[in-house]
Amino acid sequence: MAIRMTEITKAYATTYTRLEVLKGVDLTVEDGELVSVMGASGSGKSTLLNILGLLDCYDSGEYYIGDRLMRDLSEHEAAHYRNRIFGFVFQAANLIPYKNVADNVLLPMLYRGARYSESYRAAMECLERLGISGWAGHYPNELSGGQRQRVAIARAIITRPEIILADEPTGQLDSTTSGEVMSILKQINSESGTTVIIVTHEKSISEETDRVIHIKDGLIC
Amino acid sequence: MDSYRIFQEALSSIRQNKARSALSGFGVAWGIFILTVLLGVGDGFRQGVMGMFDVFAQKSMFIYAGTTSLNYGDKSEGTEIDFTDDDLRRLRSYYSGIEAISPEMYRTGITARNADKDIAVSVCGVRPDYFRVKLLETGGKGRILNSLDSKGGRPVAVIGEGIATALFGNREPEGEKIDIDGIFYTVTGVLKSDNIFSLSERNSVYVPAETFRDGFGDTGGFRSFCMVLSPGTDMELFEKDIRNYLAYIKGYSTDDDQAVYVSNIEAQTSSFESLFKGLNILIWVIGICFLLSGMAGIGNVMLITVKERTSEIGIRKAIGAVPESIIKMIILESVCITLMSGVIGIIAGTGTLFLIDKGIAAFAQDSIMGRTSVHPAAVLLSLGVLVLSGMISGLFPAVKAARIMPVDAIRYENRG
Repeated sequence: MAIRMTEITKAYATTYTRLEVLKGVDLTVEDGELVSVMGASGSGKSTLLNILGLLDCYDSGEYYIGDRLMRDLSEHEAAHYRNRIFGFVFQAANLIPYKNVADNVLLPMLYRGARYSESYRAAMECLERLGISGWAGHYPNELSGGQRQRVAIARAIITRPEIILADEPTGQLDSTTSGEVMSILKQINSESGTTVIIVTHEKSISEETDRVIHIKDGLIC
Repeated sequence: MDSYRIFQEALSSIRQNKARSALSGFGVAWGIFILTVLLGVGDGFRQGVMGMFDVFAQKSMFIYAGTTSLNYGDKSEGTEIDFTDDDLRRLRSYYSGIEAISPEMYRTGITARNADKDIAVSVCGVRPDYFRVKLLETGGKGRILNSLDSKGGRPVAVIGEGIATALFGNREPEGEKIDIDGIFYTVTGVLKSDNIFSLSERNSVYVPAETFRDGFGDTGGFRSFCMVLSPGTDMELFEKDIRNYLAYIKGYSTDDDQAVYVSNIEAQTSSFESLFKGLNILIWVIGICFLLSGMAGIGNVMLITVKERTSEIGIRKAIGAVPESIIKMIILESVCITLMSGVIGIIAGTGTLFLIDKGIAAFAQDSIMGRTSVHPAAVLLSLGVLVLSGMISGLFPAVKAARIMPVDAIRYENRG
């Protein structure tokens, strides 16, 4: 599903001022692309990703996924999109600490309405694909940073989303592990045609993507 | 996510935070414990008090002679009233509803003795009908007085357990003779004493009224009598009516409320029933007040839980949780904590009641307390109140959780 944004703005009100983070972003991402969004800290790249993934709302402009205008979505529809269209990979993995690896991975399937047994099978397939099925019964605090990020990727792909949004997925990893995570994301993009949008400030990461979108002071440049 | 799975999620969260869940549920457990114990003890007390009336026939009435307080006809103020056998005959023929009627003639502080022992007793002269008003039984140890005893003026006696033990020890007293004020009576039976009213019979001797008169040289009237009315009798109306009729036959003013005293057992039972209903309502109010403080505790802890789990809730929303599933999860967690705590409170309360019963049976058999019990309907009602209070406690935190924006939660995580 293609993504199209025109003149997207977003501002945050602080105690004394109004901080304009996005000042009119125009962006198009075609179906199946592997794209990176690069920018310095505070440039607005994470905000852009959050708006893309319907984790945050925008102030003005138009945002379409396919033919559907995102402004009109109800809370339920937004949840539906987050569950079925998007898969998220965050910098800190954001796993639920009291659930084991398998139960973390299968959670989006349960929110989709799938049965536990079916969800568990799907989770194990994803973990196998990412080479960590042996850790299915372990808890997040027993894993390394790289393993946690693999679990987060497994959770992102379990629903076979059309778009994966990754916010600094290698930000807390060493270079070897970063390379492994990137190759997994590239593999997902090439094998299943999933659109992957990666927000990063690392040039080495952006160089591995098909297209690099630079963002500076809230504008695509 | 289906409700069963949401329930599993709530249980998983409780398991993860055992100490916090236990502490938050303590207030509810304590509230239900207090409610259960109060209800049980209240019911035991009710059973004990109401059980006292079991010794009387439901439609029974006792009438005691007093002293006139008004000048009327040939009766001046201060005249003592007494009753005669003729009065009882007139009453019986006037009121078809009287099923049984008996005089009560008392002597107290009388010495009863056998060959080597003696004991101070109360002697009561009655007719066999008396035992239809006061349902005293011998519990298989002999028999009560019958009409042949009464008509023949036989020197026979039914004695209380206290007298039987004091005079005969382990021997069976039936057929034995006891000397009461110089006359030998043959014991026909021993009265069972199993509640506080029948306990007063432990040192009483019942003899036929005719024998009583002969024995004590009592030729005058008697000061009290008792009767049983037929089942359909309106006891309140009957009381008013018999007061007037007695005033008429005994010749004192119908306005004189001190000439006779009437003890209407049905009215007394009904007053106690009302008292215990009121007490029960008070117990529920107290219990629910305790429960409310427990609910506030759970609500407070659930708010902290939501704050602590901001990140988790955000993640759940980011991967597709709809607000309703978040609300359900928090409310179910609250309901589970409330229910589990409540069940613990009910079990602890029931255990305490069991110990109270054991303690009374061991150390205070003469107590007015009956067997404590909590009605299953009260338990079901408590559980219903618990579910409702759990839902109410969890509602505000749940709505707060559902309003968390995923992006805020993820920022919260990354900040932490």
